[in-house]
Amino acid sequence: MSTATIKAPIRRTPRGATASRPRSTALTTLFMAICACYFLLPMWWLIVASSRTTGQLAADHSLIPSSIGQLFRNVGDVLTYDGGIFVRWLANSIGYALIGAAGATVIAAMAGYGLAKYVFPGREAVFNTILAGVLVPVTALAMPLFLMFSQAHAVNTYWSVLIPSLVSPFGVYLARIYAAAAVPDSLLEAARLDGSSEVRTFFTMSARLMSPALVTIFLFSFVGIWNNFFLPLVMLQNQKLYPITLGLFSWNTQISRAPFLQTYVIVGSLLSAIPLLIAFLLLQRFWQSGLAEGAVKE
Amino acid sequence: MSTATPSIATAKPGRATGTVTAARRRVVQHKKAIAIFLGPFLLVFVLFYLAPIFFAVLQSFMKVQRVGAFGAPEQVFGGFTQYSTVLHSSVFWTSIEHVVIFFFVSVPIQLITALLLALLLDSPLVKGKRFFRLSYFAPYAVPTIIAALIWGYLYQPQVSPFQSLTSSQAFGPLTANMIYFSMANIVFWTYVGYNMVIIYSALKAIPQDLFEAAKMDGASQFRTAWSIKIPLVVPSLIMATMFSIIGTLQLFNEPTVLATLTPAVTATWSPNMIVLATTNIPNYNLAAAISVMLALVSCAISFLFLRLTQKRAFA
Amino acid sequence: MSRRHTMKWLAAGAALAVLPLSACAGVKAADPAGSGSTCPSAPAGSTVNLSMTSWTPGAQQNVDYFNIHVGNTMNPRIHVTLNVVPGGNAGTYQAYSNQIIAGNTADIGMVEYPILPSYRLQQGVTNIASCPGVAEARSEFTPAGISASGAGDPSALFGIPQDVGPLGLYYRKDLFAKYHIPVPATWDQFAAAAPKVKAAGGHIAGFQYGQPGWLEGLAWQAGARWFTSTDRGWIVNMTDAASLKVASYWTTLVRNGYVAQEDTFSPADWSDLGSGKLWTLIAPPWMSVLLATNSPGSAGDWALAPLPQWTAGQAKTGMWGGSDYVVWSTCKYPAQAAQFLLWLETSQNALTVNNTVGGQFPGYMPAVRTVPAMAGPLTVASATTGKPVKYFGDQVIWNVFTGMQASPSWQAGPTQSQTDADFGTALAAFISGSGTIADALHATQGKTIAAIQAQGLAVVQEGSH
Repeated sequence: MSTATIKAPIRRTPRGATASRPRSTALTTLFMAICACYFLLPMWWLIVASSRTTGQLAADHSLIPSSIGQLFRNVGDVLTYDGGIFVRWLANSIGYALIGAAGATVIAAMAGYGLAKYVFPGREAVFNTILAGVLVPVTALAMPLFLMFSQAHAVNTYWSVLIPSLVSPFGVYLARIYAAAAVPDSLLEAARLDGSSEVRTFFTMSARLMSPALVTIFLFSFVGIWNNFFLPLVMLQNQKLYPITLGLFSWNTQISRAPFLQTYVIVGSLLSAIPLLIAFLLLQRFWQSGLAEGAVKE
Repeated sequence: MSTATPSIATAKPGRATGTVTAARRRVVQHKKAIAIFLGPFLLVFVLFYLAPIFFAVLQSFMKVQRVGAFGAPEQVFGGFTQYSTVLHSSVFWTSIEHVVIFFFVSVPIQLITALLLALLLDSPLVKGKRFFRLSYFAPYAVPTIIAALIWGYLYQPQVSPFQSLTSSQAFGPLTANMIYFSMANIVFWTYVGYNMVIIYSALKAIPQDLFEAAKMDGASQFRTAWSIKIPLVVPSLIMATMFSIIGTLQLFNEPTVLATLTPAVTATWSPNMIVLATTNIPNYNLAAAISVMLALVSCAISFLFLRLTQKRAFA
Repeated sequence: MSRRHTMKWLAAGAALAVLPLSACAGVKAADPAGSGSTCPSAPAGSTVNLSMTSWTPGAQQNVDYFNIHVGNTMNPRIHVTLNVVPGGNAGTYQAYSNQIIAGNTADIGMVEYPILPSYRLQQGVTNIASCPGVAEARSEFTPAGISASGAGDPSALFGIPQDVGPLGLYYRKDLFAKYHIPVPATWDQFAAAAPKVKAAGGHIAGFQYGQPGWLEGLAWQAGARWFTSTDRGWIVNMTDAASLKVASYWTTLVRNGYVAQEDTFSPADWSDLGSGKLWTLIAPPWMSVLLATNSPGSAGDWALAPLPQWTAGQAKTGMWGGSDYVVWSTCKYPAQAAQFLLWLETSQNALTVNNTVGGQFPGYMPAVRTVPAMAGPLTVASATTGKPVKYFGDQVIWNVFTGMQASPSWQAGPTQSQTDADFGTALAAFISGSGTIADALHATQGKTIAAIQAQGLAVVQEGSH
């Protein structure tokens, strides 16, 4: 793995001719707008469908919301149904993703840093083994993990979903590349001369230098855990522990028995997209620059 | 606190007889720090990543024996029995065929579109870039299983706003004719924005002077894109392709949802669905064999792909 | 980390990996259906907490009632906690298998009859035949339900039947009357009526290709017996005369276009049932409430007739679905579990709730006399207006189901869910135009035999190929 040099992303002003060619600008922007419609349409439909009752859903197929009052009523129904299980599912997902991603980021960053900045025999073998782990489909791990956890009587618990999420081989890879590039050996030497311990140096100085990679790893892990479906499906039977993915899916399987669940699934899908959408909006700066650093380092 | 540590002694392997120090091995510095940094990850990696793989491989070489009609199971060594069953299973090969076809239907258009949108965003031709970037990335906020649920509703004539499209008997989205496209559409919708952002970031990292040189040479926008931008984002494209390969082999969420909506997708449509169905029987040994085969195929393809594109991927 | 440390970690991981494997081998006890099995009971004066999983509508109501009014009058006292789970095929059956391996099954679980043998095979259920009260109550339950709850062992009982699923003929009395077509009482009459119904613009029935249990019930009625358990292994015969007779009958009907291809439970299916595109629905009692809920527009137009017979004058039927509550092998006090289940399945209160809320037809035969709700017409709240409506008019549909018998000889296989999946795949091929149902049976039989052998079981006899 070659270590690339950092190049801070240069903010460039638009290139090329400035005032001329308004028509191609208009055409291109129109094309982009049509694409935006495609990407936003399903979410718009979610809002529209959430403003209808189950009966209206089958009857009214327009793309105009029916009733804002019904929308709020539906949201209220979803949040209170079955003792508020939906809120619980959302909280579970946030918990799994936040704690899992935070944990994964810290240990992956430390491991990547350790691999980048310290020399020891077998270092490359360890790194290559970890890298090979990136290529293994995680779904292949789910059943053996289930059998192992069941021996430890730990299935159907929060840990059974949380702990496997802490392993992020890709995070270690990113961290190593970035640490090698962003943390100069000279700074480390200086810190040592100042009497700082290795661990303290890492947490006070190196981690800050690695922060774009850390954010990337965190976001990557967060979304991965948030999306997780196969592992919870295998590990969890108690619906109080379900993440939102498994919860909505289980509602969807019961629709023929309880038709009102169709509306709840739709409203629930809308509500479940909101946390991440807000997070994306607020953290725009980070994921755009973070991904850039990640991309450069590849 | 410790004083400055001496530099690592690089002793040559002792060939000369002479003093003991000539044969001294390299000293590993900062042992404790290395253990602290690498320990936690390696612990969970070995326990929850390597051990399950190991366990699955072991299980795949075992089989079950029973007495009578309902006897208790006994695990015995089975050799390649399970693998033979997998290789002879038409259901397995059909599922491989499904994901391979799906790959070619889904991935090229996904990456080309992501590239195109990234190039357009990077050009001066588009106004309101931030809005477009956000709206194209927004679907990534929806977990794929939920995206499949949503599109499942959009595909069903009972509730879909696209009545004429979905009601078609022969070419509706849930018919066997169109099912690959319908499934690819769900994956496309979720991931194009994400891939676009990655390519866009790579574009933004291209040094300015390259473009100034091109502009001085009189290159048009299109020429610039073709000759400079695209070649320089090839590493990102390669990474994206590799992740798409791995992801497509593992396809589970979308066919699972669509299987509940249409007979065009059976409960054993994709290899991972077979793994789950096999454990439902339960036949853990066979499921382990299928998982191991999938993992091997996945690793092999990724490895080959990276080998082929090695120079470009790590430029 | 040094090479030595790396090796140490790898060794630890390997040791951990082998550990569960060795624990797996031979961990399960021998088959619990041996004669003379005991029924552990809690000491007098104690309170027993039972955990239970179910997806039946009304289960929570029954459990609440029991806890308040009945459980504490018993000695030992019994308190039940219910965990509502998705339907069996919607993930719960897989969850059960996982729980059996993990050793954390509840005390009591709902299981549909066809799946029970595979849990017996997984050593996951307890034989409660010798528990107090069970032997006396046995004869009061439908023979087919008791036989299914014993998973093929006439002396064993792994659960108490909750409901049974005898197939009946739901039909559109308004359409049959309007077009002057007599309601068929035999399969010959059914086949004769089919073209007339098509001429009138409808289909006489829907061929429920996605529900293998439906077709199996029809084979059951004709006298087929696909699986037989013996001391040495299994007899698998899916291509006997009765099965082939049923196969060719329905192949002809489908290929002639007289029956529609129905994706059961799909919105399209409900819509066809409501709109008059389908004139009959061959289904068990539990379909009644589903039909009423999902096709509210055709309330009052439906009635129930006995399933058409192969020989005039008989009253045979087969079952599709139906469920019992099993006692899992992790249950510490099967005696109390059996006591609770006997209450749940024989008490008027509980049976009334099951019937009115879930449309279930109880396995407990005296219920048709003792449960008032079963003496009257089925009334449900309309999905469109919310007002109660007599969906089948004044007809008491339960009497029709009581009048038919399903043979107790039918046995489900040890890998029934895989058999069903394979049969479903084979039927999907038939539906898309290739081959006959008999071909599907042959294909499924081959796969089933392989699946049974993959479980380490012997197949001692096979049907013709």
